[in-house]
Amino acid sequence: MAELLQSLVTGLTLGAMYAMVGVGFVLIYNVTGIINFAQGEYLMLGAMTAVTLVAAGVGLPLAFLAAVGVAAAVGGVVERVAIRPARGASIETLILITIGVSITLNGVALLVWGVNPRRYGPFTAGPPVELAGAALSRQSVWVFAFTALVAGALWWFLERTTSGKAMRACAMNPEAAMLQGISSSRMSLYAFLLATGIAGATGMVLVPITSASYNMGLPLALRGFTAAVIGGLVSPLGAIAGGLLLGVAEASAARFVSSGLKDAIAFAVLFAVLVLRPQGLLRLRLASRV
Amino acid sequence: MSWPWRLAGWALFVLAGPALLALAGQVPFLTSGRLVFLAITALAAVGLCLIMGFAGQVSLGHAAFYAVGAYASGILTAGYGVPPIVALLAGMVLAGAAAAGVARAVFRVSGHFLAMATLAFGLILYYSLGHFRTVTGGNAGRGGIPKLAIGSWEATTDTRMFLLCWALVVLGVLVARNVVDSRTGRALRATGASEVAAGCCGVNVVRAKVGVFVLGALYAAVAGSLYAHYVTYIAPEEFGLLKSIQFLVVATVGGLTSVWGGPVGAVVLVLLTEASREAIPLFVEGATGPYELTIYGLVLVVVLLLFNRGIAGGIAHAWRARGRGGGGDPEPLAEDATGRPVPREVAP
Repeated sequence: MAELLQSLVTGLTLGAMYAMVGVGFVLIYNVTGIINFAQGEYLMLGAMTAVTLVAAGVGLPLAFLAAVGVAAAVGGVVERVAIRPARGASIETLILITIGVSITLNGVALLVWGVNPRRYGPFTAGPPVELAGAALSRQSVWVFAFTALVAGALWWFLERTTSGKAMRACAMNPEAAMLQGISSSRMSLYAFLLATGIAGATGMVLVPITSASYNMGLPLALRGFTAAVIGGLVSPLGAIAGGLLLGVAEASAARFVSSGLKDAIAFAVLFAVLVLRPQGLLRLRLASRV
Repeated sequence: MSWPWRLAGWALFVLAGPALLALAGQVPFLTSGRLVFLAITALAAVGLCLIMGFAGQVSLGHAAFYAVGAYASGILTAGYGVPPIVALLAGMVLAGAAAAGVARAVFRVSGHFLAMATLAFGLILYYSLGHFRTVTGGNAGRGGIPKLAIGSWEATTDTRMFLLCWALVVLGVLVARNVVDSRTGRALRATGASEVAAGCCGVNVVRAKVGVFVLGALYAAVAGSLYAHYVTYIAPEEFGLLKSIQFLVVATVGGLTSVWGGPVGAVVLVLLTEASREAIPLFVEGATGPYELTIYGLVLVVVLLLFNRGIAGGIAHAWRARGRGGGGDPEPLAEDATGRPVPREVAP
């Protein structure tokens, strides 16, 4: 029982990370129709920026802001320089462009920061929290809090603010939104800023758990994408649920099947969902398009 | 193109191999060993061009079939003493069967989903290679693979191996050319223009797409076998997502709609990366790791944004535009940025 609970706790921590990455995929996909293959690289940029600043003696709150700022700034520039000029190109071309962006960012990060992983300690030091026999690390608590905060803020933004509503309108029907005076180009930029900013923040929060390295982005991006697909790819809430589900599935597979096969199992899930149920596993009533 | 031009083009292509080999001694960053990898990459990329340019399916899992070829060769020759050439053929059969299975499954979906499904397939295979140690040697890899031998002729030197690989590249392009110009090829181009219209004309769309996917996988399998016999050691690292992406970049930069895309892309990118491997440390002190990937990414984005047919596709198009193209390729319909014909309807 304790073992089951432990894998649940571990899985939910993993899942919360996947969920945050998945939300980024959904935001960009909804507004622009693009699967942003480079999503993981913004997470890496956030983590690397934060690690560098913390090592230089900057406080965590400031490092957090910087991580968000750097990731979103790069995301915005990429949207303007690489994505926007190719508007109207085929889906295939856009996928290839985001792949190119991903490799480029990866390579630049390697040149700037080198190959060695870096890290800083948990936000609050101390022994893990005991939870009915399962150990929950303090950083996991931070990750959960962060996920809840982002989910709440995102809900508020999309449901309660004019920009958020405009973004949803753009996702539902670009032509109709345009007729209402909503600039789809600006919404595309907003979606990139939002998604890459969230990715940067996620990266910063993850450093104490995964440590930061130039190639940390891709594995997380692939799982975040899986999370988004499980949730149907169009709903942020679905992506969060999908992420948690994937995390728990992966942790259970590692514990009860084989830790060497957990990656293969995660991608087998992705393959199966894509092929058998491309509309997503979760058909939550709430999981509507943004 | 009229036949003298065409013949000249082929002669140039065949001679490019020995020319590169001659260059290898002169240019500091180019060795005959790198040229073997160039030819192997070119061969796999020709297959990917067929899949992406003619069947219109983005594949992010091409390295999986490359892995099947390599592991079939490695396991059969090192483990069971099977002659390399037989192992190579066995790898092709296996990869073809795997491709047929995957294609049947993934062609139910389209667009982003298809790309991601091939990616997932590649990753499943990659992680399985590391896990099932007794068969694959796990992450430590598998060594002791003999050099490629055909009868008494053995590819013991880099030069021999490169010439063999280049001959296979030429053969591969020739086969691709014939397939593209065949009835199947025309059916495929029609499919790319409009699946519905092609279907109405009696084209079995699914069969055509599966067929070309399998053919593309065979190229990758041969390339994988060549790799295994050249390096004589295989480990999962070579067959991961980065390899799939590398093939994809080479094919796209070379030109997806041209059968020449593979070799052209491979030559351009290998020369660029080898040069950058030399140049980057001059600007960035202490650079380590696979930093030449930066070049891959940049070249890909720039080519897609500016030369949207890829290099070989752009040259072919310019050539046709000069009015020398009597009896050559039929002019394609409207084209998108990858140079593929624009589908009439948008996939749901």
